[in-house]
Amino acid sequence: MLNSIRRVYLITENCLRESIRQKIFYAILFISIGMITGIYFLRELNFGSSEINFIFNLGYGTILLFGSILTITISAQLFFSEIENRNAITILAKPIRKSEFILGKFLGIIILLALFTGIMISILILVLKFGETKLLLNNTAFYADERLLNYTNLIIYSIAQWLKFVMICAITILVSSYSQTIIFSTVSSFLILTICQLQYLARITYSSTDFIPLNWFVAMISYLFPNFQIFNLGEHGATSTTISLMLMVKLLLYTTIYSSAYLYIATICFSRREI
Amino acid sequence: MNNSILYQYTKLNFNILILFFSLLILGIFIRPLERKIWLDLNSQGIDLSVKKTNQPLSTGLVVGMLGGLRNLVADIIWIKNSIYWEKSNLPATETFIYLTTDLVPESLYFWINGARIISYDMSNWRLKLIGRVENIPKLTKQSIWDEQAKDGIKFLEKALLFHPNEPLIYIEIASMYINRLDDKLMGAKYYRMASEKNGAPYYVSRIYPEILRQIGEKRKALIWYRNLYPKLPANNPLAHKDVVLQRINDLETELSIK
Repeated sequence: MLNSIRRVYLITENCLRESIRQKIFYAILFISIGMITGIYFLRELNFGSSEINFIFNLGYGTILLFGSILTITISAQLFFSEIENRNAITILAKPIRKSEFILGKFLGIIILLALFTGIMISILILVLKFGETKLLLNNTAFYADERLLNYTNLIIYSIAQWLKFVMICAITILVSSYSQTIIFSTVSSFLILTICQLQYLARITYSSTDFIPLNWFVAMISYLFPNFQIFNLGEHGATSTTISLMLMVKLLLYTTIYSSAYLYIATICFSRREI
Repeated sequence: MNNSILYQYTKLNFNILILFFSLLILGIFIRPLERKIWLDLNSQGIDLSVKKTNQPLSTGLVVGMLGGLRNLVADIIWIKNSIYWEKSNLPATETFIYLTTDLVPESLYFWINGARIISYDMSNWRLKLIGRVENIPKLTKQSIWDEQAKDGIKFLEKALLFHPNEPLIYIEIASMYINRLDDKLMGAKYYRMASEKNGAPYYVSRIYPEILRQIGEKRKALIWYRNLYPKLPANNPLAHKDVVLQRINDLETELSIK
């Protein structure tokens, strides 16, 4: 058991080191940082919402968009690079189980994603703090001594986003475990992400339809794919009430069950695959 | 050879079936947890529904796909829309207004300004197409005002799906009934609804009885003012407590009640 943990740890460490060296990681990271810091200068466009909410929504959307792109591309790339460079053969020739290999890869990628989400949310909080302080200073009489945003919630929203990235990563690894090309893996994962993001919508739209086969089809889709909407806590702007710890525990449980199942299936697929 | 291909094909299909049913069972098993999370989110004031029941699917799709970035997209569309508005381009302006509210249904700004454009500006653009406004027969003018105002009201009623407790929407509907449709009764009804909402401006609770007074419901207006007066704060100039008292006195004189 201890040996197995040590092997997984080594693969995780190696995967993390390798992923940090990837050019795509830096490209996405710098574009995201540029976008989040640039939001402050776009704040004059806030017709539809308050200035602070506008900055928050845009920052949150940027993390979600670029985080999803990073998750899928880096997961597929790291998985396939091991196979294409023949590293997988060398690694798996040693007494390392395929499940340990998959788990190690998964953990390495999700640590990288935690790093990415952490950097992004820290920059967003800085931008929001700056914007908020400036707004409060200009309107001292109106706002007295209050803060406009609950920053604890922002951190909670980003954790929920990270949990979603974890699920996307597990899905991408599952797809990569049986797919033959990186393009197929990437495109399929993006399509699955779209289904997971929108399946809830299909469910509420067609739940009341009289056409029974359509009803059944939508119900089946909703059981096959996880519902990503439950992770979008900050979708409609930042709320003032702090999110309960119990809710986060449930989200964590949801992610763990799904990810474990996906990784288990990925291990089965990968075991039958000829490398 | 053929047997081998058949074997491979059957094996692949069998594997896909196993995968399909495992995911299905997993989904069924995890659904109660998902439902619990959803209920928890609602109880904490987080409504993640991206689509209201009687709204087109497109609304939910754009909201669901664009996430937080939809605010920026909507703002850019609004800026672009101002160009069409300047050119009095009715179809383009209308399309873009609907697009912005589809993208950001939470924004009051888009709903209210969009409704004003549909109701007031667009009726003027249509009249200008016919000819000089002063030469247009009153009946034609009224029919265009009616059509556009009804469109504007319909648009705002859609806004109420997202903002059922927002007094500003009720106020806007009321003013469209009064200014364009010349329907004071409906106008009064909406002003009353607005005054019953939290955060309604003080003037709404004064406009409602004033309309009642104009349509001859003076007794009703007096009862409203009498109920309103003790609730108004004395130290807030916007509440105009003195004005309300003066109106109570006037109505009492008019109705010979003392």
